[in-house]
Amino acid sequence: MPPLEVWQKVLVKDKFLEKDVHADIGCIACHGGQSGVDDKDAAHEGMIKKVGADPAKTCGKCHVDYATAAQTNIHRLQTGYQEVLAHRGADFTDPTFTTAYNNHCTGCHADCSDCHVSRPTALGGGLLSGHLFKKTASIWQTCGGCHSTRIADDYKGGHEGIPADVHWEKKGMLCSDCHADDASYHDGSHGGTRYEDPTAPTCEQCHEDVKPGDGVDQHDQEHLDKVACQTCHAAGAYKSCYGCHTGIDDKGIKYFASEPSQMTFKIGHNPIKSEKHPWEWVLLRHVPTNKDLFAYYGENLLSDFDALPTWKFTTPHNVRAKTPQNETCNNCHGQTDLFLTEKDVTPDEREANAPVIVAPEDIPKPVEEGGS
Amino acid sequence: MNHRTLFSRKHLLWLAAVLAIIVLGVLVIRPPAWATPLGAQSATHLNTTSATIAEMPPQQLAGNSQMAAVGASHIQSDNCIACHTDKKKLKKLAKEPEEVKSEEAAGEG
Repeated sequence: MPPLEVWQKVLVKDKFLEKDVHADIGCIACHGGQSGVDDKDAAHEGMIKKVGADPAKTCGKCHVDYATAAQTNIHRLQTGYQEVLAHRGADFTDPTFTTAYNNHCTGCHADCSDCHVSRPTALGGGLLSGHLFKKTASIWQTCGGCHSTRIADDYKGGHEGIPADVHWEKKGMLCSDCHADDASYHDGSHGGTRYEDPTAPTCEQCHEDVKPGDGVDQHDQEHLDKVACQTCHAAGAYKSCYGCHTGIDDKGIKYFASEPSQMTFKIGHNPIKSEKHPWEWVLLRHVPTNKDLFAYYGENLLSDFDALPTWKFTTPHNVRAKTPQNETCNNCHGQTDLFLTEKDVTPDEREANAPVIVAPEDIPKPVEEGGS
Repeated sequence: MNHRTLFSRKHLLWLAAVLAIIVLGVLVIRPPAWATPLGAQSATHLNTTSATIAEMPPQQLAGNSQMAAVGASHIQSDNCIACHTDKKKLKKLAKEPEEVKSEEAAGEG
Protein backbone atom coordinates (compact mmCIF):
# COMPACT_ATOMS: atom_id res chain seq x y z
CA MET A 1 0.00 0.00 0.00
CA PRO A 2 1.66 3.27 -1.09
CA PRO A 3 2.13 6.00 1.51
CA LEU A 4 -0.14 9.04 1.38
CA GLU A 5 1.02 12.37 -0.03
CA VAL A 6 2.00 14.63 2.83
CA TRP A 7 -1.02 16.92 2.34
CA GLN A 8 -3.35 13.91 2.34
CA LYS A 9 -2.01 12.90 5.71
CA VAL A 10 -3.29 16.05 7.38
CA LEU A 11 -6.37 16.92 5.33
CA VAL A 12 -9.50 17.06 7.49
CA LYS A 13 -12.70 16.11 5.70
CA ASP A 14 -15.78 18.28 5.90
CA LYS A 15 -17.65 15.11 6.80
CA PHE A 16 -15.63 14.88 10.00
CA LEU A 17 -16.62 18.40 10.99
CA GLU A 18 -20.25 17.83 10.10
CA LYS A 19 -20.90 14.34 11.40
CA ASP A 20 -18.22 13.13 13.80
CA VAL A 21 -18.96 13.86 17.41
CA HIS A 22 -15.23 14.21 18.08
CA ALA A 23 -15.23 17.40 16.03
CA ASP A 24 -17.32 19.05 18.74
CA ILE A 25 -14.36 18.92 21.10
CA GLY A 26 -12.32 21.28 18.97
CA CYS A 27 -8.78 20.93 17.61
CA ILE A 28 -6.87 22.79 20.29
CA ALA A 29 -8.63 21.05 23.17
CA CYS A 30 -6.97 17.79 22.13
CA HIS A 31 -3.97 18.79 20.05
CA GLY A 32 -2.86 21.95 21.79
CA GLY A 33 -1.05 24.44 19.56
CA GLN A 34 -1.68 28.17 19.34
CA SER A 35 -4.94 29.81 18.44
CA GLY A 36 -5.45 33.09 16.65
CA VAL A 37 -2.24 33.00 14.63
CA ASP A 38 -1.96 32.62 10.87
CA ASP A 39 1.67 31.60 10.59
CA LYS A 40 2.01 27.83 10.20
CA ASP A 41 4.99 27.35 12.51
CA ALA A 42 3.58 29.64 15.17
CA ALA A 43 0.19 27.88 15.02
CA HIS A 44 1.83 24.49 15.53
CA GLU A 45 3.99 25.53 18.45
CA GLY A 46 3.42 23.12 21.34
CA MET A 47 1.14 20.96 19.22
CA ILE A 48 0.56 17.34 20.25
CA LYS A 49 0.53 15.17 17.18
CA LYS A 50 -0.47 11.86 18.77
CA VAL A 51 -3.27 12.62 21.14
CA GLY A 52 -4.12 8.98 21.91
CA ALA A 53 -0.79 8.34 23.63
CA ASP A 54 -2.37 8.73 27.05
CA PRO A 55 -5.85 7.16 26.91
CA ALA A 56 -6.73 8.15 30.47
CA LYS A 57 -6.37 11.83 29.71
CA THR A 58 -7.95 11.86 26.28
CA CYS A 59 -10.07 9.08 24.81
CA GLY A 60 -10.79 7.82 28.32
CA LYS A 61 -12.64 10.98 29.24
CA CYS A 62 -15.59 9.46 27.38
CA HIS A 63 -14.60 5.87 26.50
CA VAL A 64 -13.96 4.83 30.08
CA ASP A 65 -14.10 1.03 29.63
CA TYR A 66 -11.80 1.04 26.63
CA ALA A 67 -9.32 3.45 28.14
CA THR A 68 -9.17 1.44 31.35
CA ALA A 69 -8.56 -1.71 29.35
CA ALA A 70 -5.96 0.14 27.29
CA GLN A 71 -3.87 0.67 30.41
CA THR A 72 -2.77 -2.94 29.98
CA ASN A 73 -3.27 -3.27 26.23
CA ILE A 74 -0.76 -5.52 24.52
CA HIS A 75 -0.48 -3.26 21.46
CA ARG A 76 0.17 -0.27 23.66
CA LEU A 77 2.57 -1.78 26.18
CA GLN A 78 4.07 -4.49 23.97
CA THR A 79 3.87 -6.97 26.80
CA GLY A 80 4.49 -9.79 24.34
CA TYR A 81 7.89 -8.37 23.41
CA GLN A 82 8.73 -7.77 27.03
CA GLU A 83 7.66 -11.25 28.06
CA VAL A 84 9.87 -13.07 25.58
CA LEU A 85 12.84 -10.72 26.01
CA ALA A 86 12.66 -11.06 29.79
CA HIS A 87 12.45 -14.83 29.33
CA ARG A 88 15.67 -14.65 27.32
CA GLY A 89 17.37 -12.82 30.18
CA ALA A 90 16.74 -9.17 29.32
CA ASP A 91 16.95 -6.97 32.41
CA PHE A 92 14.41 -4.17 32.15
CA THR A 93 15.98 -2.44 35.14
CA ASP A 94 19.31 -2.16 33.31
CA PRO A 95 19.60 1.27 31.63
CA THR A 96 21.79 -0.22 28.90
CA PHE A 97 19.13 -2.68 27.94
CA THR A 98 16.22 -0.24 28.23
CA THR A 99 18.08 2.20 25.98
CA ALA A 100 18.42 -0.50 23.34
CA TYR A 101 14.80 -1.54 23.80
CA ASN A 102 13.48 2.00 23.56
CA ASN A 103 15.65 2.77 20.53
CA HIS A 104 14.57 -0.22 18.46
CA CYS A 105 11.55 -2.03 19.85
CA THR A 106 9.01 0.58 20.85
CA GLY A 107 8.40 1.78 17.30
CA CYS A 108 5.73 -0.90 17.02
CA HIS A 109 3.82 0.50 20.01
CA ALA A 110 0.28 1.45 19.05
CA ASP A 111 -2.04 3.70 20.99
CA CYS A 112 -5.76 4.44 20.49
CA SER A 113 -5.24 6.89 17.64
CA ASP A 114 -2.90 4.56 15.76
CA CYS A 115 -5.82 2.23 15.13
CA HIS A 116 -8.91 4.39 15.20
CA VAL A 117 -8.00 7.59 13.38
CA SER A 118 -4.54 7.29 11.80
CA ARG A 119 -2.55 4.95 9.63
CA PRO A 120 0.24 3.15 11.45
CA THR A 121 3.75 4.52 11.23
CA ALA A 122 4.74 1.43 9.25
CA LEU A 123 2.57 2.75 6.42
CA GLY A 124 3.96 6.25 6.69
CA GLY A 125 1.28 7.57 9.04
CA GLY A 126 -1.37 10.15 8.20
CA LEU A 127 -5.09 10.32 8.82
CA LEU A 128 -7.08 7.22 7.86
CA SER A 129 -10.04 9.11 6.47
CA GLY A 130 -9.85 12.83 6.95
CA HIS A 131 -9.89 12.55 10.76
CA LEU A 132 -13.11 10.50 10.82
CA PHE A 133 -12.86 8.01 13.67
CA LYS A 134 -13.25 4.31 12.88
CA LYS A 135 -14.81 2.15 15.56
CA THR A 136 -13.56 -0.98 13.83
CA ALA A 137 -9.98 -0.77 12.69
CA SER A 138 -9.39 -1.05 8.94
CA ILE A 139 -8.28 -4.57 7.99
CA TRP A 140 -5.63 -3.59 5.45
CA GLN A 141 -4.59 -0.12 6.54
CA THR A 142 -4.59 -0.66 10.30
CA CYS A 143 -4.27 -4.33 11.29
CA GLY A 144 -2.58 -5.23 8.02
CA GLY A 145 -0.46 -2.08 8.12
CA CYS A 146 1.56 -3.52 10.99
CA HIS A 147 0.86 -7.25 10.67
CA SER A 148 1.70 -7.10 7.01
CA THR A 149 3.94 -9.75 5.55
CA ARG A 150 3.31 -12.25 8.31
CA ILE A 151 -0.49 -11.99 8.46
CA ALA A 152 -2.05 -9.73 5.84
CA ASP A 153 -0.13 -11.19 2.90
CA ASP A 154 -1.04 -14.70 4.02
CA TYR A 155 -4.67 -13.75 4.44
CA LYS A 156 -5.17 -12.08 1.06
CA GLY A 157 -3.02 -14.56 -0.86
CA GLY A 158 -0.13 -12.17 -1.36
CA HIS A 159 2.54 -14.87 -1.49
CA GLU A 160 3.08 -16.29 -4.95
CA GLY A 161 1.60 -19.73 -5.44
CA ILE A 162 -0.22 -19.82 -2.12
CA PRO A 163 -3.95 -19.16 -2.11
CA ALA A 164 -5.70 -16.68 0.13
CA ASP A 165 -7.31 -17.71 3.39
CA VAL A 166 -10.76 -19.15 2.77
CA HIS A 167 -12.22 -16.93 5.50
CA TRP A 168 -11.29 -13.93 3.38
CA GLU A 169 -11.74 -15.34 -0.09
CA LYS A 170 -15.16 -16.90 0.41
CA LYS A 171 -16.56 -15.09 3.41
CA GLY A 172 -14.81 -11.71 3.33
CA MET A 173 -14.24 -11.93 7.05
CA LEU A 174 -12.49 -9.01 8.75
CA CYS A 175 -9.93 -9.34 11.53
CA SER A 176 -12.54 -8.25 14.04
CA ASP A 177 -14.87 -11.07 13.03
CA CYS A 178 -12.58 -13.42 14.97
CA HIS A 179 -10.53 -11.04 17.11
CA ALA A 180 -13.29 -9.29 19.05
CA ASP A 181 -12.92 -5.52 19.18
CA ASP A 182 -14.78 -4.93 22.43
CA ALA A 183 -13.15 -3.83 25.66
CA SER A 184 -11.99 -7.39 26.40
CA TYR A 185 -9.79 -7.28 23.32
CA HIS A 186 -8.04 -4.19 24.63
CA ASP A 187 -7.49 -5.72 28.07
CA GLY A 188 -3.98 -7.09 28.43
CA SER A 189 -4.18 -7.80 32.15
CA HIS A 190 -3.57 -11.48 31.40
CA GLY A 191 0.07 -10.44 30.86
CA GLY A 192 2.49 -12.15 28.57
CA THR A 193 1.98 -12.80 24.89
CA ARG A 194 -1.21 -12.84 22.84
CA TYR A 195 -1.43 -16.60 23.15
CA GLU A 196 -2.10 -16.17 26.86
CA ASP A 197 -5.16 -14.03 26.19
CA PRO A 198 -8.22 -16.00 27.36
CA THR A 199 -10.36 -14.17 24.79
CA ALA A 200 -8.10 -15.06 21.85
CA PRO A 201 -10.12 -16.79 19.16
CA THR A 202 -10.05 -20.52 18.52
CA CYS A 203 -11.16 -22.42 15.43
CA GLU A 204 -13.59 -24.45 17.53
CA GLN A 205 -15.59 -21.35 18.43
CA CYS A 206 -17.13 -21.47 14.96
CA HIS A 207 -16.26 -24.98 13.79
CA GLU A 208 -17.89 -26.79 16.68
CA ASP A 209 -19.07 -29.49 14.28
CA VAL A 210 -15.52 -30.74 13.76
CA LYS A 211 -15.41 -34.01 15.68
CA PRO A 212 -14.87 -37.73 15.12
CA GLY A 213 -17.43 -39.07 12.70
CA ASP A 214 -17.99 -35.78 10.92
CA GLY A 215 -17.10 -37.39 7.60
CA VAL A 216 -13.43 -36.36 7.53
CA ASP A 217 -11.20 -39.39 8.12
CA GLN A 218 -8.43 -37.36 9.74
CA HIS A 219 -10.84 -35.87 12.29
CA ASP A 220 -10.42 -38.89 14.53
CA GLN A 221 -9.82 -38.20 18.22
CA GLU A 222 -6.08 -38.85 18.01
CA HIS A 223 -5.53 -36.26 15.30
CA LEU A 224 -7.83 -33.72 16.96
CA ASP A 225 -6.02 -34.16 20.28
CA LYS A 226 -2.49 -34.12 18.94
CA VAL A 227 -2.45 -31.89 15.87
CA ALA A 228 -3.19 -28.15 15.81
CA CYS A 229 -5.76 -27.18 13.17
CA GLN A 230 -3.31 -25.09 11.11
CA THR A 231 -0.88 -27.98 10.81
CA CYS A 232 -3.29 -29.63 8.39
CA HIS A 233 -5.13 -26.55 7.16
CA ALA A 234 -2.43 -23.95 6.44
CA ALA A 235 -2.44 -23.70 2.66
CA GLY A 236 1.32 -23.52 2.28
CA ALA A 237 4.50 -21.77 3.34
CA TYR A 238 4.51 -18.61 5.43
CA LYS A 239 7.22 -16.14 6.26
CA SER A 240 10.12 -16.74 8.63
CA CYS A 241 12.58 -13.96 9.54
CA TYR A 242 16.21 -14.20 10.55
CA GLY A 243 19.21 -12.38 11.91
CA CYS A 244 17.99 -9.00 13.14
CA HIS A 245 20.74 -6.71 14.43
CA THR A 246 20.35 -3.27 15.93
CA GLY A 247 22.70 -0.35 16.31
CA ILE A 248 23.44 3.34 15.82
CA ASP A 249 25.46 4.37 12.79
CA ASP A 250 28.30 6.93 12.43
CA LYS A 251 25.77 9.70 11.89
CA GLY A 252 23.93 8.83 15.07
CA ILE A 253 20.96 7.26 13.27
CA LYS A 254 19.35 4.23 14.88
CA TYR A 255 18.88 1.27 12.60
CA PHE A 256 18.10 -2.38 12.44
CA ALA A 257 19.20 -4.79 9.77
CA SER A 258 17.91 -8.26 9.13
CA GLU A 259 18.84 -11.12 6.86
CA PRO A 260 16.51 -12.00 3.98
CA SER A 261 13.25 -13.64 5.02
CA GLN A 262 12.29 -17.08 3.78
CA MET A 263 9.00 -18.81 3.09
CA THR A 264 8.94 -21.87 5.33
CA PHE A 265 6.52 -24.59 6.40
CA LYS A 266 7.71 -26.55 9.39
CA ILE A 267 5.87 -28.84 11.78
CA GLY A 268 7.42 -29.28 15.20
CA HIS A 269 6.74 -30.02 18.83
CA ASN A 270 4.52 -27.53 20.61
CA PRO A 271 6.60 -25.09 22.71
CA ILE A 272 3.61 -23.54 24.51
CA LYS A 273 1.57 -26.55 25.57
CA SER A 274 -1.37 -25.52 27.73
CA GLU A 275 -5.04 -26.25 28.21
CA LYS A 276 -5.80 -23.89 25.36
CA HIS A 277 -2.97 -25.18 23.15
CA PRO A 278 -2.79 -28.87 24.05
CA TRP A 279 -1.49 -30.32 20.80
CA GLU A 280 1.82 -32.08 20.27
CA TRP A 281 2.22 -31.10 16.61
CA VAL A 282 2.04 -27.44 15.63
CA LEU A 283 3.43 -25.15 12.95
CA LEU A 284 6.59 -23.23 13.77
CA ARG A 285 7.97 -19.96 12.41
CA HIS A 286 11.48 -18.58 12.83
CA VAL A 287 11.53 -15.19 14.52
CA PRO A 288 14.18 -12.55 13.70
CA THR A 289 15.79 -12.56 17.13
CA ASN A 290 19.30 -13.90 17.70
CA LYS A 291 21.98 -13.87 20.36
CA ASP A 292 23.60 -10.70 18.98
CA LEU A 293 20.38 -8.73 18.59
CA PHE A 294 21.56 -6.01 20.99
CA ALA A 295 25.31 -6.67 20.79
CA TYR A 296 25.94 -3.06 19.73
CA TYR A 297 24.82 -1.93 23.19
CA GLY A 298 26.61 -4.46 25.31
CA GLU A 299 27.63 -8.04 25.76
CA ASN A 300 25.24 -10.72 26.85
CA LEU A 301 22.18 -8.49 27.18
CA LEU A 302 20.06 -11.57 26.41
CA SER A 303 21.91 -13.66 28.96
CA ASP A 304 19.50 -16.58 28.85
CA PHE A 305 18.87 -16.57 25.12
CA ASP A 306 18.46 -20.32 24.87
CA ALA A 307 15.54 -20.31 27.31
CA LEU A 308 13.11 -19.97 24.39
CA PRO A 309 13.17 -21.49 20.90
CA THR A 310 13.75 -19.24 17.92
CA TRP A 311 11.24 -21.39 16.04
CA LYS A 312 8.04 -20.32 17.74
CA PHE A 313 4.44 -21.50 17.76
CA THR A 314 2.55 -19.88 14.91
CA THR A 315 -0.91 -19.75 13.41
CA PRO A 316 -0.60 -18.80 9.73
CA HIS A 317 -3.61 -16.97 8.32
CA ASN A 318 -3.75 -18.90 5.05
CA VAL A 319 -6.29 -21.50 6.08
CA ARG A 320 -8.04 -23.76 3.56
CA ALA A 321 -10.07 -26.94 3.96
CA LYS A 322 -7.95 -28.81 1.41
CA THR A 323 -4.21 -28.33 1.48
CA PRO A 324 -1.23 -30.12 -0.04
CA GLN A 325 -0.35 -31.81 3.26
CA ASN A 326 -3.86 -33.09 4.01
CA GLU A 327 -4.68 -34.35 0.52
CA THR A 328 -3.62 -37.87 1.50
CA CYS A 329 -2.31 -39.39 4.73
CA ASN A 330 1.15 -39.83 3.28
CA ASN A 331 1.35 -36.25 2.10
CA CYS A 332 2.18 -35.62 5.75
CA HIS A 333 3.17 -38.96 7.26
CA GLY A 334 6.77 -39.74 6.43
CA GLN A 335 7.39 -36.34 4.79
CA THR A 336 10.60 -35.46 6.55
CA ASP A 337 10.90 -32.07 4.83
CA LEU A 338 7.70 -30.85 6.44
CA PHE A 339 9.12 -31.35 9.91
CA LEU A 340 11.66 -29.18 11.72
CA THR A 341 14.68 -31.41 12.10
CA GLU A 342 18.16 -30.65 13.33
CA LYS A 343 19.44 -29.90 9.84
CA ASP A 344 16.97 -26.98 9.60
CA VAL A 345 18.49 -25.27 12.62
CA THR A 346 21.86 -23.55 12.75
CA PRO A 347 24.25 -25.10 15.28
CA ASP A 348 24.25 -22.02 17.52
CA GLU A 349 20.46 -22.21 17.86
CA ARG A 350 20.08 -25.95 18.40
CA GLU A 351 20.09 -25.76 22.17
CA ALA A 352 17.37 -23.10 22.18
CA ASN A 353 15.28 -25.15 19.78
CA ALA A 354 15.80 -28.56 21.37
CA PRO A 355 12.20 -28.65 22.71
CA VAL A 356 10.69 -28.15 19.24
CA ILE A 357 13.08 -30.05 16.96
CA VAL A 358 11.66 -33.35 15.73
CA ALA A 359 13.92 -36.39 15.92
CA PRO A 360 13.82 -38.46 12.70
CA GLU A 361 12.36 -41.43 14.59
CA ASP A 362 9.49 -39.26 15.87
CA ILE A 363 8.25 -38.26 12.43
CA PRO A 364 4.94 -40.05 11.87
CA LYS A 365 5.56 -43.12 9.72
CA PRO A 366 3.89 -43.58 6.34
CA VAL A 367 0.61 -45.45 6.56
CA GLU A 368 -1.28 -47.68 4.23
CA GLU A 369 -3.53 -45.26 2.34
CA GLY A 370 -7.11 -45.40 3.50
CA GLY A 371 -6.08 -45.71 7.14
CA SER A 372 -4.61 -43.10 9.45
CA MET B 1 -50.87 25.01 66.40
CA ASN B 2 -48.61 27.62 64.81
CA HIS B 3 -46.08 27.13 67.58
CA ARG B 4 -46.10 23.34 66.97
CA THR B 5 -45.63 23.83 63.19
CA LEU B 6 -42.71 26.16 63.75
CA PHE B 7 -41.17 23.69 66.18
CA SER B 8 -41.60 20.88 63.68
CA ARG B 9 -39.98 22.91 60.84
CA LYS B 10 -37.02 23.70 63.05
CA HIS B 11 -36.51 20.01 63.71
CA LEU B 12 -36.81 19.19 60.04
CA LEU B 13 -34.14 21.78 59.22
CA TRP B 14 -31.81 20.25 61.77
CA LEU B 15 -32.51 16.79 60.41
CA ALA B 16 -31.78 17.96 56.85
CA ALA B 17 -28.52 19.56 57.98
CA VAL B 18 -27.38 16.37 59.72
CA LEU B 19 -28.26 14.27 56.66
CA ALA B 20 -26.36 16.67 54.37
CA ILE B 21 -23.27 16.36 56.60
CA ILE B 22 -23.50 12.55 56.51
CA VAL B 23 -23.88 12.50 52.69
CA LEU B 24 -20.94 14.89 52.25
CA GLY B 25 -18.84 12.75 54.57
CA VAL B 26 -19.61 9.60 52.59
CA LEU B 27 -18.78 11.36 49.30
CA VAL B 28 -15.43 12.49 50.68
CA ILE B 29 -14.54 9.01 51.96
CA ARG B 30 -15.83 7.05 48.94
CA PRO B 31 -16.25 9.32 45.91
CA PRO B 32 -18.44 7.95 43.10
CA ALA B 33 -16.93 6.83 39.80
CA TRP B 34 -17.91 10.02 38.00
CA ALA B 35 -15.97 12.10 40.49
CA THR B 36 -12.83 9.96 40.30
CA PRO B 37 -10.11 10.64 37.73
CA LEU B 38 -9.65 7.69 35.36
CA GLY B 39 -6.02 7.37 36.34
CA ALA B 40 -7.02 6.70 39.91
CA GLN B 41 -9.83 4.32 38.95
CA SER B 42 -7.45 2.16 36.98
CA ALA B 43 -4.64 2.16 39.46
CA THR B 44 -4.67 -1.60 39.63
CA HIS B 45 -4.26 -1.74 35.89
CA LEU B 46 -1.39 0.69 35.96
CA ASN B 47 0.44 -1.64 38.30
CA THR B 48 0.82 -4.03 35.42
CA THR B 49 1.06 -7.75 35.88
CA SER B 50 4.59 -7.95 34.62
CA ALA B 51 7.30 -6.75 36.92
CA THR B 52 9.42 -5.94 33.91
CA ILE B 53 6.85 -3.50 32.62
CA ALA B 54 6.67 -1.77 35.96
CA GLU B 55 10.39 -1.23 35.68
CA MET B 56 10.16 0.34 32.25
CA PRO B 57 11.58 3.84 32.03
CA PRO B 58 8.97 6.57 32.35
CA GLN B 59 9.33 7.75 28.76
CA GLN B 60 8.16 4.34 27.60
CA LEU B 61 4.98 4.15 29.59
CA ALA B 62 4.05 7.71 30.36
CA GLY B 63 1.53 9.51 28.25
CA ASN B 64 1.63 13.06 27.11
CA SER B 65 1.57 15.28 30.12
CA GLN B 66 1.11 18.34 27.93
CA MET B 67 -2.35 17.19 26.96
CA ALA B 68 -4.76 20.06 27.06
CA ALA B 69 -7.93 19.41 29.01
CA VAL B 70 -10.59 17.85 26.83
CA GLY B 71 -13.73 19.84 26.89
CA ALA B 72 -12.05 23.21 26.62
CA SER B 73 -13.60 25.72 24.30
CA HIS B 74 -13.23 24.88 20.64
CA ILE B 75 -14.17 28.27 19.38
CA GLN B 76 -10.52 29.12 18.86
CA SER B 77 -9.92 26.21 16.49
CA ASP B 78 -11.16 28.16 13.46
CA ASN B 79 -7.66 28.79 12.13
CA CYS B 80 -6.77 25.11 12.34
CA ILE B 81 -9.91 24.07 10.49
CA ALA B 82 -9.55 26.76 7.84
CA CYS B 83 -6.14 25.45 6.88
CA HIS B 84 -6.61 21.71 7.36
CA THR B 85 -9.71 21.61 5.16
CA ASP B 86 -8.08 23.64 2.37
CA LYS B 87 -6.50 21.15 -0.03
CA LYS B 88 -4.71 23.83 -2.06
CA LYS B 89 -3.19 25.45 0.99
CA LEU B 90 -2.07 22.11 2.40
CA LYS B 91 -0.47 21.12 -0.89
CA LYS B 92 1.51 24.33 -0.74
CA LEU B 93 2.41 24.33 2.94
CA ALA B 94 2.53 20.73 4.17
CA LYS B 95 6.04 19.38 4.35
CA GLU B 96 7.22 15.92 5.28
CA PRO B 97 9.94 15.83 7.94
CA GLU B 98 13.16 14.79 6.28
CA GLU B 99 13.48 11.01 6.42
CA VAL B 100 16.55 9.92 8.27
CA LYS B 101 17.26 6.35 7.35
CA SER B 102 20.58 4.80 8.16
CA GLU B 103 22.68 3.35 5.35
CA GLU B 104 23.22 0.39 7.66
CA ALA B 105 19.50 -0.48 7.68
CA ALA B 106 18.65 -3.58 5.70
CA GLY B 107 15.95 -6.16 5.28
CA GLU B 108 12.26 -6.17 6.14
CA GLY B 109 11.02 -4.67 9.31
